[in-house]
Amino acid sequence: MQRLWDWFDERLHLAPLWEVLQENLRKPSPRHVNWLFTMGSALLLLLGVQLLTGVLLMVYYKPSGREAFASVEAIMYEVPLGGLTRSAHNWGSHLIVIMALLHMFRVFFYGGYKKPRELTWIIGVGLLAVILGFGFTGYLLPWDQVAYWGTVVATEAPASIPVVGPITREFMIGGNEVADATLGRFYVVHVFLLPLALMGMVGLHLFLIRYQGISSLRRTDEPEPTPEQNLADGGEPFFPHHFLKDSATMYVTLGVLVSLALLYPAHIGTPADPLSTPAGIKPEWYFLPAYQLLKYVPEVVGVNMPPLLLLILVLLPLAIDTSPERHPGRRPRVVTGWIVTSVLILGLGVLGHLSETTRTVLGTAYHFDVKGMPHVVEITDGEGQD
Amino acid sequence: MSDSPPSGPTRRWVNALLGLGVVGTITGFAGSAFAYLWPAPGGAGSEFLVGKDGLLRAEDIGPDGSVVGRSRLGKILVVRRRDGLVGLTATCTHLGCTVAWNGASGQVECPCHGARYNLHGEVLNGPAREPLTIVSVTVEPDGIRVRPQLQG
Repeated sequence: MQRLWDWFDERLHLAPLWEVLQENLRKPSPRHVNWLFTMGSALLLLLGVQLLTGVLLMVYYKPSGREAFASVEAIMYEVPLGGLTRSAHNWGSHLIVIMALLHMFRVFFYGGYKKPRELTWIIGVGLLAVILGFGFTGYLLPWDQVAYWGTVVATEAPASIPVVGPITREFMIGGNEVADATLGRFYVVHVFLLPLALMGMVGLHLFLIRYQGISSLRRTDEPEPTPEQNLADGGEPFFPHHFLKDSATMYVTLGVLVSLALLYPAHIGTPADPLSTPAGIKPEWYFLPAYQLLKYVPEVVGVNMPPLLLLILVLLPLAIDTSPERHPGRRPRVVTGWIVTSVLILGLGVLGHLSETTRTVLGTAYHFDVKGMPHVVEITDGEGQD
Repeated sequence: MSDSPPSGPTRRWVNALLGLGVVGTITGFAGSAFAYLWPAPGGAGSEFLVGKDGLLRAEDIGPDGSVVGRSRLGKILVVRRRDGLVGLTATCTHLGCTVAWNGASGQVECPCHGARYNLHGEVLNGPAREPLTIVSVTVEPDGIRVRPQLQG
């Protein structure tokens, strides 16, 4: 082993690099770093699982309108452990969005996005956009009715943007309607372009986190504590202390993912039929707020809302919250705005989920119309929901 | 002989030309990729209505029933009424879902966001704002021919 190291060191002079790495691993984290700071690692694990399961799925998946559905069915029912692989990929996509949002909330409430870490935050927002892009493009790939029509609605929406909308849509889906050409495009974006962007951005994000260190709780106009101060203040070296916490969270996340994949396997509906839209088409849960919003406001408003929210997130450390305070209690306006916006988004999502269903609440049956408004209805076939 | 890089008007010209060459190369590649990715024009399609399993026929449509098929005019919904066949574009003007005829309500309905139209294509209930387009439907031995409705 030593000879191997010497061989490389003689040629590449690795000793200084090794020293930097050692120093970085020994660097003490601030005392306030706790289990909440392990969500980024869990996210990294989930992204790794997606990459691995995605590559495995690519071996058998056929990205054409004629073959896609059958190839997914074959993966699920004929390929050994294919069902588990697809289910893990499917559940992984949900858990990634959940974990990314939790991670973002943690950074927001700790004020970690503030100077000098604005760039890390902005790359993080970019990563959130990439993750949503994965969800958007991957949704179509099984080529079943839900996938097809969910994509029709989602890709039709940008067409309402004045002037450039129709051309953008046509370019995006490769024609006038969602078809074979769309599948090819989405496939390339999903399995090549987005992973490429993801890997570059994750690398930069992690580098900045390690290079700048974990944010302190001090005001931004006060000097950041040195590693020595962190150590004296009760902080612990990243390795092995925080590394072990990270590893534990990653294992628990992996356990949750595999359990969900085994207990609730992903299913596939009926093959896509462009001539018949089934009732109750809804997008993935994380697009439900945008879906529901489209029912209340003109398309051009609804379509631009998600990108606008991402832009607001980008501007958060640059223009919206530039005060030196990190403590959430000392920046009430931004925190209130964040909570109100989150509740509104959550509320829209819940309305989107409930809309066009009939549910029984405390013995009374309600039908939730397209706008999510409840109407009392007579129960004719016992309790239940649709 | 000086070690400093050459300067002067000639060098500036050469630098500008080199820069232009690089920009031109990148633009050429980007433009070619864009042209490559631009959707090819689709086929003209048939004047006769085609379903999943081939040409649709008027006898496939029962009393107060309907079919949806493709034609040169896009996806078309044909509804049988007592006084004949009525044809409408079948793509909801809200977000592109395929509408369906509901014989019970006597309305054309979109399953996605609940838009409703009458058989004249007019919007009865949002979120759609634009009407569906009426098309001319004729029954011929080869199938159901759909053509744009003549104005006036």
